[in-house]
Order: sequence, then C-alpha cells, then structure tokens
Amino acid sequence: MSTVDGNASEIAVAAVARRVESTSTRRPRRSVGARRLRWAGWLFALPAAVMYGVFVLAPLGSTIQYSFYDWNGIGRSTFIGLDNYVRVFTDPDLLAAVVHSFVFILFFSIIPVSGGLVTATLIRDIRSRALSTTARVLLFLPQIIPAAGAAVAWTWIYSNDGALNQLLRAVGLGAVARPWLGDFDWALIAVGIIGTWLSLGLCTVLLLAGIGKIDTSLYEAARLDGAGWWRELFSVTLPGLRAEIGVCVTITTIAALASFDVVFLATQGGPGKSTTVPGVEIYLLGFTQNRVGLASALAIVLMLLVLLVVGPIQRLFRERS
Amino acid sequence: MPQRRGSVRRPKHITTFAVAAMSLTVVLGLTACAPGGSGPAEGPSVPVSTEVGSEKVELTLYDGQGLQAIDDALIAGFEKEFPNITITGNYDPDNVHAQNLPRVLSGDNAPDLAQSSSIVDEVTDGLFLNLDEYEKAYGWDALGAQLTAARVSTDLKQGSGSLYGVPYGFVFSGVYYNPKLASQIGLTEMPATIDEFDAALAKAKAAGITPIIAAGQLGLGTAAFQNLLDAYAGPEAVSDWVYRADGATIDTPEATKAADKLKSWIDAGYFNADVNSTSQDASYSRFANGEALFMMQGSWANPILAKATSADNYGFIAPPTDGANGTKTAVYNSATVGISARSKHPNEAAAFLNWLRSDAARQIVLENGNIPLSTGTPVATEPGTVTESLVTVFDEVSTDSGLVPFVQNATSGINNSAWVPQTQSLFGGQITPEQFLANIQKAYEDELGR
Repeated sequence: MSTVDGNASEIAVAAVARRVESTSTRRPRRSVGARRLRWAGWLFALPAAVMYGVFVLAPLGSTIQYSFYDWNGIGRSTFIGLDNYVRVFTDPDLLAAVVHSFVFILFFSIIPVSGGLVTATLIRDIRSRALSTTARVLLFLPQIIPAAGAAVAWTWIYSNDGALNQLLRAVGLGAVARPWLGDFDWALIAVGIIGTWLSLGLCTVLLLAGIGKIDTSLYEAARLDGAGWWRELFSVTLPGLRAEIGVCVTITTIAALASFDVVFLATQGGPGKSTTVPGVEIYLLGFTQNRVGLASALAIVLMLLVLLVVGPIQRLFRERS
Repeated sequence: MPQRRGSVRRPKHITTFAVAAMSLTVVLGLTACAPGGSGPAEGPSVPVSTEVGSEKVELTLYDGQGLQAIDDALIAGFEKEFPNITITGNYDPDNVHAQNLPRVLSGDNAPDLAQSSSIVDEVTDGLFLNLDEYEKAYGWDALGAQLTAARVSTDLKQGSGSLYGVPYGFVFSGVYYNPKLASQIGLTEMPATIDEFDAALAKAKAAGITPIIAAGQLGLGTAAFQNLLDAYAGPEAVSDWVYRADGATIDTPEATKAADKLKSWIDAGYFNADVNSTSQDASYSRFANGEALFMMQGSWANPILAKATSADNYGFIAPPTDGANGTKTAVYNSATVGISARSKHPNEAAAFLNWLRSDAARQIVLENGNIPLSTGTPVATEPGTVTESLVTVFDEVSTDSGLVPFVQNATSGINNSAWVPQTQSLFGGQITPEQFLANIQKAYEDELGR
C-alpha cells in the first residue's frame, strides 16, 4: 500500500514537473496564442470601446477642435489658433474663476475629509448601535439630496430673513446678519459651506467603512500599550485609512474644481463675478454668450487642471505594496 | 514575474490605444471642414402667395413658456379662421428658449414659426426667412415704426433694412408704485420728472419705507440705470447703441450722469438692502406685500401682481423724464415672430403673421398682459385697471417716439458678461460709475469684435 502511495505521489510530482517543463518549452508558441487571446479580449471590449469612442473621445476631439475657432455654435467660424487659450490665461474674470475653484478645494475637500475623519472615529466609538446608525443616516442624508435641491434650500437659509440671519439676530448678533449670497466678501465662503455640507456625509461614510476593515486587535494592542485617542488616530486609524482617504480626496477635489450645480443655483457666479467657477463660465460662455470656441478652450484647460491636481494626489495616496 | 509584467503592460496598452484613438479623433476633426455654416438666408423657396388654399397643413411654433398662454390663445383664434391649418406650439422655459432657439432653428425638425427677441443673430446665421415679398403682398408697411426692431440691414444691423418677422405685441418697462404707501408719505401726485422722483424716494426713505425694490440677483438693477440713461441721453442715442451702430459708445457724459444718479440712489439706501441676492420672483411678492414704494418692472409683471394682490394695491406710471419738457421714454421689446428658413410652408406661416394684425388677435394679446400692435382701431380695456394704465402709458411713450430697446439685448451675451456682474458690482460698491460704464463698453466691443 505504502509503495503504491509512494508511487502515486511520485507520479504526481513527476506530472507536475513535466507540466512545468512543458510550459517552459512551449512558451514561444503559447505567446502566439496569447496574442490571439488578447485580440479576442479586445473583441469583447469592442462594444464598450465603441461607446467610449462615440460618447467620450469624439466629443473630446470636437471640443479640442472648437477651441481653436472663434465660433458662435451656429454660423461661420474663424480659425484663430491659440487665441482662445491666450484669453483663458489673461482674462481676469476667467482667471478669478480658476482661483475660486481652488478656494473650493478647501471647502469641498480638505474640511469635509478632515471633518469626516474625526466624525467617523467618533461614530466608531459610539457603543449604542441605534445611536451610531442614527448618526450615520443623518450624516449621509445630504448625499442623497440632489445638489440642486440643496442649493435652493441653502439660498433660503442664507437670505436676508432666512434661518441663519434669524438665528444671528436671536442671539444678539444682528449686526453680523447680512444677505450672505449677495455679499461680495462672504458669498464665496457661503457657497463653499454648502459644498462642505454636501461632501461631509460622503467622506464620513466612506471612512467609516474603511475603519470597519481595520483589524480591531490593532486598537487593542495600541490601548494595551497605553495609547490615547489621538495616538490611536495617528498610529492606527490614519495609516489604515490611506486608500479611503485617497478616494475621498480625489472625488471631492474633482467636485471642487469642476463644480457647477451648487454655484449656478445659489449665485450664478454673482454678485459681480465673486463666486464664479470655470464650470459656470463654460456654461455661460457656451450657451448664453454663444462663444463656443472660448468655452471649449476653458473646458480643455479645466480638464488638464483636474488631471494636474488629481494625478499627484493619486500618487500620494497609492498604497505601498 | 511574467504575471506581474503582464499586469503592468496592460494598462500601458490601454493608454496607447486611448492616445491613438484620441489623436485620430483630433486629426480627423481638424482636417474636416471648419465647424458652422452659412450666412443670411434668401427669400422663400416656394412662390409667395397670400392664398393658403384648403389643403391641410400642419405648422409648428416654438416659443418660451412665458408667452405660452398668448401663443395658445392666438393659435386657437387663428385655427378657427383657417380650419385647414393647424399649429402645434412647443415651449421651453424662457431662458432655455432664448438659448436653444438658434440650435432648434438649425435642426432637422426646425419649427415653421418662432418667437425671438434677438432676431439679428438668427438673421446672421441664416435661420429666419427674408419677409420683404410678404410685406409687399400683405401691406405690412402700414405698421410703420412698430416693425423697426424686426428689420435687419444687409450689413447685419438691426433697426432698418429687410423685414424678418412681425411682432404680435410688445412688452415694456416702467414704474409700478404702491398707492397706499404713497398716500402714507403724502405723495398725492405721482412723480413725472427725475427731480420729483428723487424727492419721493427721499420721503419714503425718511418714513422707513424701502423706496425701490430691485431684483439684483439677475442684474435687474439695470432697469433703474436704463430708465435714467434713456431720460438723459435720449431714446435715439441708446437705440443706436443697442442696434450696434458703428462707433456707438455708452461711455458718454450723459451716461455718466445717469450712472452717477443711480450711484447716489444706491448710496442713499434707496434700494432694498439685499438687492444683490434678491430674485425676480421674490421682488414681485415683496412688492405685492407692500414692502416698497416703487418697483421698476415690465408690463409682464402685471398679470403676476394681479394674482398676488388686489388691483387697488398697485399702479403703473412711465419712467421719470429729464425735466418737465423731457421726452417720455420706456424700455420695450417686441415679441417678434419669424418664419424659419427651413419651413416647407412659408405661405401658411405668413398667413399667421398677417392674422396677428386682426382685432381678434390684438384683443387676445392684450388679455394676456402684452401690449398689442397698434393698427388705428383701439382695443377695448376695462377702465380704471392697471391694464388700462399700461396701454395709456405705452401710447404716450410711442407718440413721444420714446421707445428704446433693452440695453441687455445689444448682444446675446452682454447681459451675462456685463450687465449682471457690473450692476451687482455698482450696487455692492465695488466699482465707481466711471468704471461701470467703461467695463460695459469694453464687454460690448469685445462681444462685437470691435
């Protein structure tokens, strides 16, 4: 029996060896097969690639083309080379729009991500299950309200007789009360806070899910070693959430740079041009001022800007393997 | 190791593919002919006739939702007289209509009829039919100056030249007042001159009443500026600017006087404190609720105010004049209907335009809050109503040749690129009256490529 057993295992080992050997000897021929396979793979990807080409690449190509023309979208067009791009980088209104979108990174991304981190850690510490679920639902609520609806609700809150001013007057701060969205100094911050409110929930929920994946024994070990709340946050939670924070920062930064709906509904970029962002300018230029070329150039610049900002963020948060 | 290499290689392939596809698209795009098409359109493709026959014809009309009630009523009235012609109305929200009009007219399913407030753009792009032959056939020239805004010259200037549409009526802007607040501050007679207006504003302010409510969120502070501008500079100079006359400028001493006057009102606190964040709807309801003495708004606000408050709570007067002998002016716009250059039934569409001159059509226009075409026969108005004041004021102003097109309509983009942000900045104290005018003029020249 044992010999049979031994034989059997020997045969098995030999078979494996042969298979390994045959793989290595047959390698050149297999790579031809692999090439064929790769084309088969493209065949499967073809429907998606066609859709991608028609709905993403082709419009992108047209946008690039339009950006070299002076064109109202309907009539005759004139090729003007890089003039539209020169204008994007020299027009103070358009440059201000770009600056505003960077200010929005603070409100759409940095504050919500750090706030979400603290909130998620606090919710993790809540012992009562009902309480922590309630907190989660409340925080996620802004995420399921369309940004457009939220912007309209916030314009009421910010209006002269709105909730915010009523509150300020009730606590004796009536002197501070003002029509927030109509104020040149405060409108940008006021719109930014709407963005913070919108993205805080998303960040909290994403980070909570991440915290759930961190091995609890790490927390136990940290506590046994006498680590406090802050020490735990910096030594266990933060390193464990690297990937999730990366996702949060990426999504919210893109939302800040490419923002449109909140700004358009809350202020249309006003008062003056004090809250305008590239998204709103592209819309106004393209659809109300009929300057399709300039709008396209700004859109291309915005796209490159997003790539330029998000690229390094991706690198920064890439998980070390 | 092989596996790892594979996984590194694949994304590279995808990138290469994407880059290749993208460059291909770009190259294809750039080598293809330049975007866009033709210049102004010629006359109709079928022989011009005032006979519409009895064959069944279906037409479509495209307009903004703000005018839907009028359009539907006009269509119903027209179909009653021309049973073989049916017209289907398609509507979009007003701002969407204004933006989409050129796109809709250049599409394959272009409507036969469309209302436009900026016909010079449609004409430039060859989207509206030249109606000169129909004008001759129907004798539309009897409408005289009422067709001014519907004419475009061969060098693409509005205000003279070939006819490209017929207005079915007008909207115009003036001053709404609250009679209860007026009597509260002892204002027995409504102000007619700018000086009288000034005095009334000061009285209201002293009594703790908001003198003027304006919806600055959409840049409607422009209304106050243009009323002053029209009074000081005169209707002709302002019309020239709007119609893009060669060398036209708004940076003049008269305009500076108007901007300075407006600035003095702003500094005196004569406008609602939250002017820059007040929406148009909010300004209507707040005026109807008795928050302000005056509101500089258009005839279109009358039906809205009529619903929001009772008729004895508001009245309408012409904008103030520069001194007792000054020209009575008002900012106006015509709802001009043109025929699509792609229409297959221009004769039937022209029959609709001609019918707009009928008494039945004019009564419909009036009942729906617009000022009808004047043909010599008066339309019936209920005495003592705000509608009656509107018709009276419009008659007075047009006899005084004081009708001026909206400065916001000078180019399709100037409202958003200049009037809205610049008036907001003036109201917010960010710029001086001189900067205000210089910035507007700069945007104007930029938009016109001067």
